[in-house]
Amino acid sequence: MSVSSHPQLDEDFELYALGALDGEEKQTFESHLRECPACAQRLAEAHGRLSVLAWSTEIEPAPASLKQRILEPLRVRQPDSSPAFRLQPSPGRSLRFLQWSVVSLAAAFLVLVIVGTTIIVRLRSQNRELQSRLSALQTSFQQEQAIANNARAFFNVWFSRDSIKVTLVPGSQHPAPEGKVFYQPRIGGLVFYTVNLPTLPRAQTYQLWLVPSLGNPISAGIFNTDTEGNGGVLLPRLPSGIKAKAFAVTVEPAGGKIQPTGPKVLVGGVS
Amino acid sequence: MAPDMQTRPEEQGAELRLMQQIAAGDQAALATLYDRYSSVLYSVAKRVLADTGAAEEILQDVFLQVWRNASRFDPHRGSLSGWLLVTTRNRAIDQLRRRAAADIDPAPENLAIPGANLEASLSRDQLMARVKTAIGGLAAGQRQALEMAYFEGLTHTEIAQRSGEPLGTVKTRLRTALQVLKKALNP
Repeated sequence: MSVSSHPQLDEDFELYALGALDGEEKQTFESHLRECPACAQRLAEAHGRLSVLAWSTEIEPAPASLKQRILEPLRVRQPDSSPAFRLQPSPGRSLRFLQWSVVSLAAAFLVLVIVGTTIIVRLRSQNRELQSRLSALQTSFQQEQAIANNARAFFNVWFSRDSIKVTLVPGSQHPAPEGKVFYQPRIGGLVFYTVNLPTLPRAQTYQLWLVPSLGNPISAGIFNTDTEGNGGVLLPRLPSGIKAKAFAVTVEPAGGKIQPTGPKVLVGGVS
Repeated sequence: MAPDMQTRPEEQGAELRLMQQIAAGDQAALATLYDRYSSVLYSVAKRVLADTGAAEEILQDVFLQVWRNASRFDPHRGSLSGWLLVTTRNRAIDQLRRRAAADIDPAPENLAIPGANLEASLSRDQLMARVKTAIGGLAAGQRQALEMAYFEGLTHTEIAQRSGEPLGTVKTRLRTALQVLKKALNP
C-alpha cells in the first residue's frame, strides 16, 4: 500500500487495529490514516468489530471490593469537575504563596499567571536546555512567542482537570524541603518545583524521577537549587500516557543517571 | 467479523439515558453500568496483563473516564459497550508493552465506537456462544495467531518469532482467521 492509496479490505484495517502490523507496513498505514478521514473512520469500525473477541475469554467477576473503590472517590468528584485534589497536606509555611484555595476561577487564574511567570523566570537561570532556548530567542521576535507557548503548556499541565498533583516531602529536616509536581499523563507534561533543598556540590545534581505503575523509574530531568534552595524542572521530555505511581528526587552525580543510584531526598506517591 | 447491523433504537435509548444520568452525577447509574460490564472488562484486562492489581487499575481508569466524560457520549457515533471493550483492551495492551498510547487514537472521547453492534442484537449468552463457536472453528494455528495478536498485542513479526513459524505463514494465518470469523459472525 502506498501512502496515497486506500486500504481496500476490512482485514487490512483489522490487522492494524489488532496491532499486528509493524515496520514499514505500519508506517505506511499510519501515514495514510493521518491524511484520510474516511480510512480513519473505517479503522474505528474495525476496532469496533474486533471488540467482540473480548467475549471469547473466560468471564469472571471483578473483585467485590473494586466497585466500592471506583465509586467511593466519586462522591466528592462530580462529572466534568476539576479534581484538583491534594494528595498530602502541605506542611509548608515555605509554600505560603501556593497554599491557595480557589476562591474564584478568576482569582485562581491570576495566581497561576503570577506563579507561572515566576517559575519560568526562575528556571531560565537553572535549566540548561531552557536557558539556551531562551537565550537564542532573546535576539529575535520569536522570544515572546516561545515564552507564551511555554506558559500555555505550563497552564495546560497546571490547570487541566486530568492533571494530578503530588506533594513530595522528606524526613524531619528544618526548614523542610518540599516539592510539587503537576503531571498531565495524557500529554506527558510535567512541572516541578521545590524549595528549601540545600545547594549541592558541583559534582552532584538533583534528579527528578517519575515512577510508573509498571517498570523502572523514568528520569524527568536534573536540576540544581539556588542559594535559597529553589529549583525545578519545567516540561521535560516525557512519553505520553505513562501512569505514575510516585515521584521522587534523588541526589546523583553531575549530569544525572539513567536509573536512580543516590539517596532519595523527596518522595511523593500518587494515590 | 461482527455484522455491521444498526444498534437497536431501544438499546441506543437505554445507553443514552444511562449516560445522561451519569453526566448528571448519578452514581447509581455508574454502578449500573459497572454491574453490566465490569466482569467482561476485568476478564479481558486480567487475561492481557495476567495481574489482578493491574487489571483493577485499568478498570478504575476506564470508569473514571466514563464518569468524567459522560456528557460527551454520542450514541449516533457508535456503541458505548464497544468503546468500553476497545479502551480496556488497548490500555491493557499498552501497559503490557509499556508503550505510549497509539498515535492513531481508536478510543475517541465521545465514548462511542462504531462497528461494535453485535452485542446490541444478541443476549450476552448468545454473544459469548457465537464468538466462542466462531473462534473454535478456526484452525489451531489461526486461533493461536489471533489470540497472540488480540490478547498479547503481538505484531506479525513477534508472533513469527514466538511461534517459530515463517513470517509469511503468520500473515496468512492471521488474515485468514479474520476472514473466517467475518463469515462465521455474519452468516
